[in-house]
Amino acid sequence: MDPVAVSLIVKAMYALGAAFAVGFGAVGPGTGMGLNAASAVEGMGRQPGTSSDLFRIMLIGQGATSTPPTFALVIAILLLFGMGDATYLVQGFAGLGAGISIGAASFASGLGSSLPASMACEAIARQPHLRRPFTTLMLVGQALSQTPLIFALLVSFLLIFLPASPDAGILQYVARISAGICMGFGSIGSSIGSGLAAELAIVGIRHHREPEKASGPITRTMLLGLAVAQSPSVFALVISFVLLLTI
Amino acid sequence: MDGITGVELIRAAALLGAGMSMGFGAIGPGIGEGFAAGKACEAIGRNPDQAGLLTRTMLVGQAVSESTGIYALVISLLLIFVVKG
Repeated sequence: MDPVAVSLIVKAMYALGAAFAVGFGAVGPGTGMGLNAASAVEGMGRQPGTSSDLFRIMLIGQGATSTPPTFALVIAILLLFGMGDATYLVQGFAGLGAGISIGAASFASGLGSSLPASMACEAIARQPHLRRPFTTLMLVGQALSQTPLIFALLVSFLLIFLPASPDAGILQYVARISAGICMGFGSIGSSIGSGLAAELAIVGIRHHREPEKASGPITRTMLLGLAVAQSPSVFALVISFVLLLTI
Repeated sequence: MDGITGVELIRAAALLGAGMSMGFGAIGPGIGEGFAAGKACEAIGRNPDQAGLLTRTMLVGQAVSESTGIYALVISLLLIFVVKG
């Protein structure tokens, strides 16, 4: 292959990576923000008196849920504007890997962080006086659901900015794309799991005999459980680093 | 690309397998452990007196669920460092 053809292939791989990042990465957050709006609307229909609270909580939840697609957009723009400088084939594989990593992570943490937001809207419509603990749990759950997304962003940045050597072989090509797959798909479980845990923690406060006293012990158990639930994504981060830095 | 030997091809396939093993292997334990944590919180809400028992049981269940993630980690490390083609 002459040099012109290689640089065209690299550009095509960058474009594919950018498309995967935003295309796949928008599915989860889009669905999630819609579900969030749905439960807010349902709650307003049931309790029109709470509509201003519900509207505020809906917007806060949706704002936090739109962090993942924003990160995917940043990576896609970096890939699209970095196209011209990329010359070696290994950079093409790295760009595709970066897109897969942030795309899959954005899909999952968008879906995951919308779960507590939807449940918070539903809960506030039924028990408006408890909006403070519900909102706190929602925000903590969303933040933790986006931890794997930060790992994926880190791996994507590393993939894009790691210096490329012209004599890289097939092992380096495969290691780049494998690191992206590992971190991207490895973050799906922890993101959705954290969202589920925060959602069910809100349900727990709703069922408590004295809900005002419930948030302390329930938040403690939720944080303990979530710390354990993050470990699979930490394993995926370790394997991605090993693939990127030792091969 | 004309210089790919059979050994390189096997190493490359092992590296791809390592990423897929850990990537897809992390989905199950992540969702499962999160679900266990959430159900423990819900149960503490219904029965606050049993918080200690529930937290202990949650941690044991999560540890068992974690084992599948550790299998994936071990297989990934083996594929990266042991398979030489």
